[in-house]
Amino acid sequence: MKWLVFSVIMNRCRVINRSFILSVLLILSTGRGYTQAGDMIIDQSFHGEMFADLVSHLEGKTDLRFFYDPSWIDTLRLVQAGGSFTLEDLLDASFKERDIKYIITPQGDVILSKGNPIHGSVAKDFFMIPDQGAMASLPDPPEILPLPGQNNGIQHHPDNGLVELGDPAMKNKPGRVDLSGFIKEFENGAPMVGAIVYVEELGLGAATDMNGYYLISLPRGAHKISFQSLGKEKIALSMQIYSSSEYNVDLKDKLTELKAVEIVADKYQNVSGIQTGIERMEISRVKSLPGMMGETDIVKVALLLPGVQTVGEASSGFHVRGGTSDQNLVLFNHAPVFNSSHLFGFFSSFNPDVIKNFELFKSGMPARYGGRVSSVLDIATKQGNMKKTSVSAGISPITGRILVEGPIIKDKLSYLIGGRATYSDWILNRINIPAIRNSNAGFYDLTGKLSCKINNKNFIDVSAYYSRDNFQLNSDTTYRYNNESMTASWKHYFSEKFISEFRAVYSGYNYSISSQQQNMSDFSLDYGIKHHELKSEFSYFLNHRHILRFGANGIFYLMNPNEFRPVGEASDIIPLVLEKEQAFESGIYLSDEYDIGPRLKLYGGIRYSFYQFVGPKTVYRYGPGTPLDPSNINDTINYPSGKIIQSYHHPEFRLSVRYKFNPYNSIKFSYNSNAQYLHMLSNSAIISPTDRWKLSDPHISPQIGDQLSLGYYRDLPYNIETSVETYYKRIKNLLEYKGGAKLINNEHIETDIINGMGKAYGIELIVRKNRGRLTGWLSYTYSRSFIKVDTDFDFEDINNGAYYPSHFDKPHDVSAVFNMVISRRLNFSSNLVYNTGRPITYPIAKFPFKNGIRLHYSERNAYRIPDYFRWDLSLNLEGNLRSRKIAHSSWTFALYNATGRDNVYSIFFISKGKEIQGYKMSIFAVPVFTVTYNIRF
Amino acid sequence: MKKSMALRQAAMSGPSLRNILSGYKVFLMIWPCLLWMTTACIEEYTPEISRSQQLLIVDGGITSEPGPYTVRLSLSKGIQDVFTEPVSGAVVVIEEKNGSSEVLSEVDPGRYETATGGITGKIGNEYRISITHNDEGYESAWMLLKDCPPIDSLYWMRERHQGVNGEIDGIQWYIDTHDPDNNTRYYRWEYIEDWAFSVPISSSWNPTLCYAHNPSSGIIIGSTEKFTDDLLLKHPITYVDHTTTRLTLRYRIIVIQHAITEEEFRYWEALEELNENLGTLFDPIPAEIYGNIRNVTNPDRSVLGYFTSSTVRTDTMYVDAEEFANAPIYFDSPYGFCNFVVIAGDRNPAISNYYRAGWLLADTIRDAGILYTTMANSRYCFDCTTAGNADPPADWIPLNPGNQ
Repeated sequence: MKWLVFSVIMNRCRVINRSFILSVLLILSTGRGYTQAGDMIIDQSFHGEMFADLVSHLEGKTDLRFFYDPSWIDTLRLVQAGGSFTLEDLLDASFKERDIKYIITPQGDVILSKGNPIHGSVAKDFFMIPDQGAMASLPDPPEILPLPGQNNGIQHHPDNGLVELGDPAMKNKPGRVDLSGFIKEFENGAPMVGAIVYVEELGLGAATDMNGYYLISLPRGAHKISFQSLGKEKIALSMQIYSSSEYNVDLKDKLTELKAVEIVADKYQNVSGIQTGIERMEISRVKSLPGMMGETDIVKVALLLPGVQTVGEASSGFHVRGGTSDQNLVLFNHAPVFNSSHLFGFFSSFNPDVIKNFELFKSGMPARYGGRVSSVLDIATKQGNMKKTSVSAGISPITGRILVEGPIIKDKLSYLIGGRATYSDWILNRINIPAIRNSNAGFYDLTGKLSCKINNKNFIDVSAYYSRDNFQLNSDTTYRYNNESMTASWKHYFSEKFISEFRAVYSGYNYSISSQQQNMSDFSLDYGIKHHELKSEFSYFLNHRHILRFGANGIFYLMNPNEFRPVGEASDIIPLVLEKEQAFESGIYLSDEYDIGPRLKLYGGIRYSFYQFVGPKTVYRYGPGTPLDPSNINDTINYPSGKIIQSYHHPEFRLSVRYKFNPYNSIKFSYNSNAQYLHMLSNSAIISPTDRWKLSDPHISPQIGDQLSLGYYRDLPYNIETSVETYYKRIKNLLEYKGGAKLINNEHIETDIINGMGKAYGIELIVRKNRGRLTGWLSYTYSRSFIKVDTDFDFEDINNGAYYPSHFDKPHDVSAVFNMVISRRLNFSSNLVYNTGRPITYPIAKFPFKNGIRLHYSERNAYRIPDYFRWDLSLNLEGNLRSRKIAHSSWTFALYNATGRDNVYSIFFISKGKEIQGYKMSIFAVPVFTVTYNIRF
Repeated sequence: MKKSMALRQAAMSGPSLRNILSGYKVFLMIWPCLLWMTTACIEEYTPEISRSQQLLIVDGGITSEPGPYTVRLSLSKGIQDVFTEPVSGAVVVIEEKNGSSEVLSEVDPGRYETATGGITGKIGNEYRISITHNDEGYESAWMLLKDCPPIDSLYWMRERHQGVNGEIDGIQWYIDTHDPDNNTRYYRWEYIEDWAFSVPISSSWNPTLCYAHNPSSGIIIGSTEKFTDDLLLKHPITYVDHTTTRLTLRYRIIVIQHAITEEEFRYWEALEELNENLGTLFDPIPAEIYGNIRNVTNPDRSVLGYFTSSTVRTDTMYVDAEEFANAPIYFDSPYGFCNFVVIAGDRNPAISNYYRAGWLLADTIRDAGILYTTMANSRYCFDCTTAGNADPPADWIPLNPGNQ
């Protein structure tokens, strides 16, 4: 028997280091007897001993060397019936329960394998342990393994042998064939989204869709094809494909998974993917990073990515490439979320336990997305476990969480229910200030999902989401808001080349503020918006060069803009209920992903959006050539129900081009234009609880954004990816506000709004390492963002009609994010953030008026607050790693703002009678230490 | 004091109809500070502000009371400058729509007054101001002089308020007012405080009883626009706490009620928002606000201030320390730092030692031939004129005519 060892097995091995087991490639060729060592008589009783004791005994006394991963055997006790046995008998008996295979080489190496059998037989004359990097060095398979025809949904494939697919009769036909199928998780049957099917010698790849479906077009013949996804054992197969076929794959968790988390955008995506400005992250990555107050928060992690900024620490809303926070389409399970924050923006309203991953499109949005100008944050939730029921829970200083999932019908129908709630009242009640002690603040969110696989052609899932916040200060005024959404999706595969998705979406957002002090000013103020949407998406794999996607959607908005009412007997409030507003927004799109050659790829798409603002509604008309002011109203028109009051439409172009110099270098270009018909009214620097959405109407035009983006992408050795992206963006019809604007209880809101023009540009540099014990990224962004308000009426202009920096214009931004796997139970992370202080408007004059000194503000955003710097650390400690244990637990220790830097949140001035005093305010001026405990059953 | 001022102000303002978010903001400010027990979440801070604008400030108005009416003109300075610069030599005219007008005369630099017996505001008429200075003309909008209902009642309630350094004790002043015709709707108040106080160390050549005077400087406005009835109940005016001498002897408040127009109300509202901002990012972005005066020659240049027109109604009330006899207010006296020594003997060297230490001679008494010298650590502690006037203010009604 001859062994070829391509890479060295390090460390003669109590522990096979993970990175090494992956780079081991063994080829076993024709055999002589291999069992000499196996025949060794064991004359000592090892019954009930730990396996590791046997190993140390034998390694000490004989030339035998054992190779294995300790997690396979860490609780394994030896089984020996008595008397004297051969080593093989002992191993066979002991491993029987554990699915551990072994082979003993003539050199005396005992190699263990779990799951994948090691074929030592003459018939199966080779084996290999699949590998990420050594594919290229894989010699051609010596022989073809016979396999029963098409595997049509059958889940078995040889352990790394050669697979023959299709009708051998068509073997010599010219042309291409399609390979399609589903990739699922072995452990729970969940579809693998974004798993990669990759043919290295062709540089061709395809990613799976949300149901784990992939389709790749290949020249007929033999290929080495790998199926891979993060945290999963890669499967590399030699395939002989005679005609178009289906091949399904189940990927297993990496046995030696050290909780090293990796960014899913696979190796081939950085350079080969067509999109610019896309960020994609698995929740495991998010969870490995230090969170504020011990909370895992995807929005806070997104802020560490280049091009994503926030106005202030712990503030709701985020800004992508100089866009305002209402220009981000936040989708949770395909439903838009209108308010994505809990507790004034301290946390985002998404429970990390139910999230699978998120994608953030900063530019080059695919044509299927529409309705927002700056970005799309698409958050996907997990599918319930199709195999077994599991429960996980966690507790942090702020919240408690629980997630239950499991099959209803095994492999067919599963459910998932996750909930999270805060117990901050408990904390508030301990604060020794009556005003705070008598206050309460709470939030919770619930997510549920039912997933049904009817058959391989039809998938249905229904998901629901509800989040609620309430806050009450000193037992009088109560603030409440909630998001609610429901999505039903049906994905149907007409054929392996033609796929459709149909979706019905409802999403709503409401807030209510009320004061109940039993006096004449008791009131309630309500706002609500409802989004009803029907959507269809079709993908047609025309041939190996073209993927066509097309579809349409229609949204009906119903908005209750302002409902101000008295509450109780004592109240003397005059109700002010503004008319409901309604509008239709629809879009159709068509796109083609065109593989011009191995180097050049093109994505072209057009989306045409239509918008109608419809009655019943009373609309004010203002005198022509006069500013919109209540005093200039010259007509009032009542539109009947269903009458179109105003319509808008806009063609939106989406174009991306990638040119690959070689597998390691590419440049990409993209252009996209977007229209936005829904606006957030907010005249504070961040979204405040009384801010509301507004539909475009005769006076408020849709926002139109255009963005050009150009990037260079390069992959370096050691799994290091780098990229440089630049962009230029322009936004028309931004909303700005007049001084002293009133956004609530305002019957003619348009009179307090002025239109601005936005422009933003920047360059984003990033170096990332997505694999290995040390992962993370280092990014630097230089970006600017400006607004100009230059109207027909000089006095309405801001800064005399010149461009001024937006509130989130922070030119320099550096993030360094690292995650280091120290041992299999210990994992360390660090975030380092630096950015230029945000712009601020200072008073430029003071004036005495009626006994007091007052401040005069002008020159918007002419100054900046001091620069921001923060360093966070976290340590994740796993409970012991026994696989059979009832529950797995982990501890996370996090230190937020480790240096305790007194970062300035805001600077403000108070006129105290005769004098003016400036103040600075910081939110977290000391390091904040938190402990989070998680448990999984 | 640093943070307590801001927070106290925040805690006091509470949620109100006009500022629906204030409760939220207070919470946002206090909650993280306390939760993490940071030493100072809010600190005094003076950023470098290099730019400033020189703009004309107009501070004046007309009422239905007989004149003279005063208009002050000055030029604004940067917020780090100490004084503003008076504007002299301007032609200032107050004009009645379809009626008379009067040119004001400059009585002090930058201070212009109408003549006694000159133009007088009449309810229901409209007035405006026009100014000419350095070849630039300024003009206000026509301002309606609205009638003002009387204050129904002025009263106080003993209240404890929240400061960051603990609770503070004191009295909260309220007013009730209403307009049976539902016409007034928008109100603004000012108040004038006068109080008697004494110093802790007696001095035979200094008065020990003085009167302090403080006109209000904050913005106190209210509206009934959201209510069916033009009625305000328990509208807060000011809070008088235990950290001053105000309530130690006798205290008087004169509350002045103005009925104002909606435009003026909006101006005050915006001014209040800008000037009494709490520093959270929920606050509206500071922006330029416009009064009712325009630069006619150069419309791009802003004019600060407002030409007001209103009828005024006043109400006066006294409070004496005796009223708290049953529930005494424990004063956190501003004289807490005062110290004195009485040194016996004519040429006691201790006297010069104290002199050298910066102490002052407060009093001398000769008793049985021995000179007793009182030395104090600050003039403030034995001479009440350092903080007030020895003469009572106009119309002051002493508690006990025999005593005060």
